Amino acid sequence: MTMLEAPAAEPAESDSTPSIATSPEEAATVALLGNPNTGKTTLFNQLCGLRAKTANFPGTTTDAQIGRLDLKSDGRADVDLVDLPGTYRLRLDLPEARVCRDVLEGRAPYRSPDGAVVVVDATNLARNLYLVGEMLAVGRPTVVALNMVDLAQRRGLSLDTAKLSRFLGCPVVPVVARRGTGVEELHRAIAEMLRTRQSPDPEVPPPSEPDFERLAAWADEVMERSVGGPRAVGQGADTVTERLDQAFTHPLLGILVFLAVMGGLFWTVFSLATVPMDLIELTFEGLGGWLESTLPDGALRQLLVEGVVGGIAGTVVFLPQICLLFFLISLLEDTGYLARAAFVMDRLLCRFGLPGTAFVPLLSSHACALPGIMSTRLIPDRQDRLATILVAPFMSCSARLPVYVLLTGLLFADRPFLAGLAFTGCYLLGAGAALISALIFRGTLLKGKSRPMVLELPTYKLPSFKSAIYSATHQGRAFLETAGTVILAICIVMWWLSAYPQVEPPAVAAELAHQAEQLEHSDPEAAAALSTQAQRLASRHAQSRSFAGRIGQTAEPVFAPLGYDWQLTVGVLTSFLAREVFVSTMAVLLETDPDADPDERGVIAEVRAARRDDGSRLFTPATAASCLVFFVLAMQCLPTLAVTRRESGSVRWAALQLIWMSGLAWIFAFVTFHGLRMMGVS
Amino acid sequence: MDTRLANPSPTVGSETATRLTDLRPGCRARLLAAHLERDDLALLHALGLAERSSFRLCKAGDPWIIQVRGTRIGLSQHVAELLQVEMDDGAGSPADDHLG
Ligand SMILES: Nc1nc2c(ncn2[C@@H]2O[C@H](COP(=O)(O)OP(=O)(O)O)[C@@H](O)[C@H]2O)c(=O)[nH]1
Repeated sequence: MTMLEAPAAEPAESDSTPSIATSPEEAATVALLGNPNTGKTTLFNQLCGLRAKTANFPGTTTDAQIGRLDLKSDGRADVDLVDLPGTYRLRLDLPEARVCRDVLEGRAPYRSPDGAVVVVDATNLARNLYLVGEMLAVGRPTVVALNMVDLAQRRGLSLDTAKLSRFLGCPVVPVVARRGTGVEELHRAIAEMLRTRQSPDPEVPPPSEPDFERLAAWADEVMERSVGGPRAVGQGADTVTERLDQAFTHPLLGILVFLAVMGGLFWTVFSLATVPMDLIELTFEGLGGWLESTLPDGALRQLLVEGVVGGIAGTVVFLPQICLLFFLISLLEDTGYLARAAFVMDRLLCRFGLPGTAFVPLLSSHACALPGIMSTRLIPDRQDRLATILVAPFMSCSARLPVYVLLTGLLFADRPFLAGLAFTGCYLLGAGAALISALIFRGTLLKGKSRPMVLELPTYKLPSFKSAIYSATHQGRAFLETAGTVILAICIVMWWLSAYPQVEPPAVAAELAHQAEQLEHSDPEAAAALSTQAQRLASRHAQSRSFAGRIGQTAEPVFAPLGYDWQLTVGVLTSFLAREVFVSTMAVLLETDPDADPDERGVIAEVRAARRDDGSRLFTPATAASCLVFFVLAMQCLPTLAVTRRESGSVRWAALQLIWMSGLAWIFAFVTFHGLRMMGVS
Repeated sequence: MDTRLANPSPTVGSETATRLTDLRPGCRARLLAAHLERDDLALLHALGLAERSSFRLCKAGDPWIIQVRGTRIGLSQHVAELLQVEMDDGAGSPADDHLG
């Protein structure tokens, strides 16, 4: 399954992302296709390494990876390898199959690829041959990469590749993608294919029309004549697989395992990431300090230190967590467990009027709601789709991660267990809100039942660290690209809004500063305290008079019932543009408390030390909890609304999503704040 | 849109047609008919489960798990109830017995 690999791309970037249709005429392109779970991604990574970029198929929301194949040693220029979405057959009425078909047949706007590599799973050859048969019927130059031959051998299958190649009329290269065995030979075969441009000439010709029975008969014949080995291998009971399946899909145990796995996943992310996070904070602090000491005082220094470095630091600090999350999810996906989890989820989802297939979009939404909503195209039924689109953004996306870290850190400092629990609680709250909302929508606006589920259960495997590293790198890079563009821009604007217009310090502050000067010699300690107080008053005054302060004060009455002051209101409002901005906005808005423990500076310490205008702590437990609840539930993502509008075909659904989510967030935050206060927690 | 796969009546010489959900885990059976929508049916086909395909029931109860050649397929309760099958004594066509 590659359900989780959708990158967190911003739709605004899609204009600049390379598109498959516009690859330059000179570069040869080779398409890579195969059934899901055949090791296609692993092979792609082996062939191209990290030299891959994400592109989109024009007119669709399906993402593709394009890699560079280095065939120089084979006397050829570089070749673009296009990783097509995994599909069981070309003639399926599913979006992935449609994309593959359109690309391979060169239907506009695609330029037909110069050749294709079909990855097949040697342990499951007959079924994989359907796709090969269809590809041979297309008539493009083809190479078959026979993957997982290690597993086939272990199971006692003997595959005669020479015979297979003759029957199929195209080269068949045995590979073990996971170990990189045979990748050299595959390179050579691809170079040779591009040189000769020979269409396949099968000895056992596949049926030309899309008739399943004939295709199956053809596959059986090829199998019959090229595969030897013990009969009935794989038919008998594999007790380990059977037992694991029993456990993982068990009505009660299955759910417990699911909760334990997901809880463990998030706990690991939470606890392991702290080390690199601390390092990053220290580094950026050093950088800020260095800039402060080298640059002359003025607007430029302020912009760089407070706007740029401060803003980026507040975002990049969460990179370790995002990478770790995707690293672990990739490992989990590799094991084969997630397909079982899909069934556990199906039982749950269908009660809420969602199809089992909604598991894919909903799980992807944990990375980012954008690819999640886009992947709802996999859901055939329109009502099912709309319901899933509407609730997908409730899932805690990685952009909320920084906010969760910050606020759970504030709530449960030095109690990682409780923080982890609260963290898991956020994910559950989001998922719960999504399900209840789906139920409400299915009972009112979108009446009807969901479609039943059919899913391949891949064999259990040891996960591949290499794939996990690729996945983490890929997602981390996507996050940094966003951080480097949108977030940086917002940081600069935020800094400007909060620093301008510049005002004279208030009279009280001037008075205090004057007193401090006079006491400087007689009582240096008192003088220092006074001048600190003066500075704080001055900067508070400046902030409240700034543009940001004025905006926050105007909107404050709306958020005051949730326990927020104007500063927090500004944070909440700006995070509508992109949630991860919240943390950096807060870091820019709130000045450092000079009294803070010097060992414990950094974003979290800064936010913890923040004060209201009356001098009381901004983030009391009740406020932090109410803020956390608000961020779990609120629709604070402009790009998501744009995608919802596009995918649902109407601005009305996007408006409903915004009003529903934000309304729910406000109500729940209100209840949390006042509930906690009633219980004596302020 | 209810597309029938094959003749839903039992064929000569075989046991009578039953529903998949009446089978016991571990037993082998052949698919007779799947009363599914066209797209769901096409997906089952692509996964290797077509009419006359021999398979083994690995797990009963939602999700029902069957194995067709080397592919394990999970079926939700709802799908499983719509599959009509006949018991298979194991003397299937040779190709079905390969792991493939
Ligand atoms: N034993 C073995 N495992 C492999 C091989 N190639 C890939 N895998 C594993 O098969 C699983 C699925 O691989 P992936 O590339 O994600 O498949 P995709 O869904 O086709 O993209 C992963 O756990 C891989 O580590 C191989 O040649 N041998």
